[in-house]
Amino acid sequence: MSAIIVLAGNPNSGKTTLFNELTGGRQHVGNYPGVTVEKKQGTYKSDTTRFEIVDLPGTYSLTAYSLEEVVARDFLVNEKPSMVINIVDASNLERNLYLSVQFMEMGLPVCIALNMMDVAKKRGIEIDIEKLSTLLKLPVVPIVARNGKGKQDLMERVAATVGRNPEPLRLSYGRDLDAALDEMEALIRPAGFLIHRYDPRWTALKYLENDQQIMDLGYGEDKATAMRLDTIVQRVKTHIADTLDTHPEGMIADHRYGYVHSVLKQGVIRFHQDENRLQLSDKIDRVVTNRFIGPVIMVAMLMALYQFTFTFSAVPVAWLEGFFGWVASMADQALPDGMMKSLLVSGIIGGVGGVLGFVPLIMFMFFGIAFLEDTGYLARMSFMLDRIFRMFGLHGSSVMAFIVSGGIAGGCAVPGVMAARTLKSPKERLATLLTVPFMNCGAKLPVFALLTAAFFAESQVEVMLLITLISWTGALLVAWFLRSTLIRGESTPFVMELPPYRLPTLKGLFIHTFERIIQYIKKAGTVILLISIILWAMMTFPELDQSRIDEFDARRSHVVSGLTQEAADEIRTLADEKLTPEMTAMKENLLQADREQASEALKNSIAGRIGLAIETVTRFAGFDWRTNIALVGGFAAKEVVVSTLGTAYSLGEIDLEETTSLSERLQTEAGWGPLTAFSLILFTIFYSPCFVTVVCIAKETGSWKWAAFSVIFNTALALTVSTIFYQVGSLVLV
Amino acid sequence: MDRIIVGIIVALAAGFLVKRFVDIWKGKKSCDCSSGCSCSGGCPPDPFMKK
Repeated sequence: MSAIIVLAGNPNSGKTTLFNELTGGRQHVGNYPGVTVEKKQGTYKSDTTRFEIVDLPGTYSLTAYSLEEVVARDFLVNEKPSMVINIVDASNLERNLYLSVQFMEMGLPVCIALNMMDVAKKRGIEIDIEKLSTLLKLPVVPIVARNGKGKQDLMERVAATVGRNPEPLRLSYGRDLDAALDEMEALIRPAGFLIHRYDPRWTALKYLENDQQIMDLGYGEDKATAMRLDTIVQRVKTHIADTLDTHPEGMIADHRYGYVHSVLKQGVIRFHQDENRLQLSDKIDRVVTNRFIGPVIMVAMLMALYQFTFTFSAVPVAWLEGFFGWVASMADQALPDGMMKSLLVSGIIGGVGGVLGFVPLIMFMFFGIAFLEDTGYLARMSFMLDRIFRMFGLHGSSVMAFIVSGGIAGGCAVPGVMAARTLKSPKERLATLLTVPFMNCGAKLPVFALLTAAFFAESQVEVMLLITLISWTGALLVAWFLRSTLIRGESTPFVMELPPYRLPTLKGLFIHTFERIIQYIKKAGTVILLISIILWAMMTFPELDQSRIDEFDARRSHVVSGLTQEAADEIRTLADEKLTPEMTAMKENLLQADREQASEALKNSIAGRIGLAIETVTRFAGFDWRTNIALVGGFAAKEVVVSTLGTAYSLGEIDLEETTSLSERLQTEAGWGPLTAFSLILFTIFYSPCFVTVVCIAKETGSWKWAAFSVIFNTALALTVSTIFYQVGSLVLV
Repeated sequence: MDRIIVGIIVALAAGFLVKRFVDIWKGKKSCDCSSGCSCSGGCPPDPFMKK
């Protein structure tokens, strides 16, 4: 005798481990027809039976939201396996049984393999297997797939029950949905609608769950019946939205979980060690996720995080700024004048040093974020923000993508764009990955830190909180705009498991922080260093014409005419207090000539010319040509905005012995003030994602069209917002 | 001499940078945490990324 046995379950429930345990080295890998999802097949022989074992992709549900779910369901429907071995993680029983309920609703023969019993035991979870089996009316076998424990029992039970065809499970989904299901079933049965493939009630349920695959199939088979079913669905949907403010999909999920919960409540599961912890988590959640107090706590958490970061990082950041200033001054004195000195002092130390100066700030910020993450608070933020996100056409799962991208300043947009993969609806996913780059990634953080330290030193925490709120509001408004115009479509429901609160270990926090700091330093020492060298070259070449240099030399000679060479040198080298009033005036004239020459040389360079060309547009937002160079460089990586400003102002710096940090330099520079600084902050929040993120968007959407859209749309938006702010601000402040 | 050394450094920097961007473009190097993240600040530990 031989039979086809399917292994199915949630991702990471131990399916592949069991598959390898059962099939040994006999498995081979193939592809499902038409799709690229990997399928594994192998054989298992008992004394009497030969089983063909098929390992399905891990899935949480059988509603065709994602590719894995479609593949798994199609196989179950088309191949009609003799038995489904449903691998269930015993330490996460409630969530895993959600999928089991769906197998039962399809009327499939199911045997539950209760895996990770050892983990469950360690966590103080005790499961009454007999009772679970009786209540679900299914065979349930405890196993530990990792060491093969229980494998023999499992296959014996499978052999004993294979070939039985149970009745599909009929759950009640509440008065409204049950009435609709009955009405739809009464239509489906006499019409023979998809009846050769699916149970009628199951088809009706899929229509209520808005399952596009089944609806398309139905439309192709019998258009008239499909349209009548659709009318019923629309009526129920409107009624539920009006009366309960929810979707049928959400109600169906609630009732399935309710069924699982009621089964477990009947003495199936007992908590020993974890019970108190879970209860404590529930108690904390009553306050922390409260509809009114929750948002207040969230804002307070952010303020506390920023306060912690700025307070503790201020001193070490100042030390590092001083250190790099000292290094630049030493290099200036030690090296002879020339290209090499300029590259080292202005390009490398001014550029990379500017970025490395913020290492302590990044360190404290990451430490704080790691703390919030490890305690389980970030998951609560997703839970609370789901309602707001839905109002703007996004999804609860979008929140995690936003946070990963730097929702709390300090993430990265690339993994944020990738995290959008978890969204099942392609439209919600697209809206999410186009808006996550508005978050404040770790690369934007040095830009904000530099500008807030220079112009808002007294209220850095409040300004940082304001920046966070602006970026979230901007992202949500853009999402709403996109979902109302280019990517219209309904929102899908969100079910989220909240982990219990945990007290993070100091060791874990340090490891997380250390890993991220190393990555930040590594980037500064590689990509940022290379970009700084290129930008230095772009800010240096082509050089001024010799005739123009001669004119400046002549001007300097004219200032010191009548003095001996020794006296002329003393004007530059003597301390200010030792100079006579006449000598001080001469020194000022000499320095003015130097400054003008440096500025003219910078304007004459490739980067200077680009900056000047863009200035015709950006001056309305308050940006001069030097800022423009930095912003263009920022497309490669956002930290480059800081390093380029460092290089640009270092190249214009005349007296390196009087070391001033970049933030001090900006404070005294003409054209800079709080208005310009905040306009630049707004521009940095919204303008084009960096190169790597743009490539990632193209890959994830499968289209360069959307990548180009994010560059053009975001930059246009940033320029509009900054210009409006700067112009209105100028009018108000004058 | 000064200019020659600077020229070589700039050319090397440009070469490495172009190679890096071409690698990213071709998908040889990306910022998924499994292949060693190069993003600023790295990839925050994210349960979804395990997928």
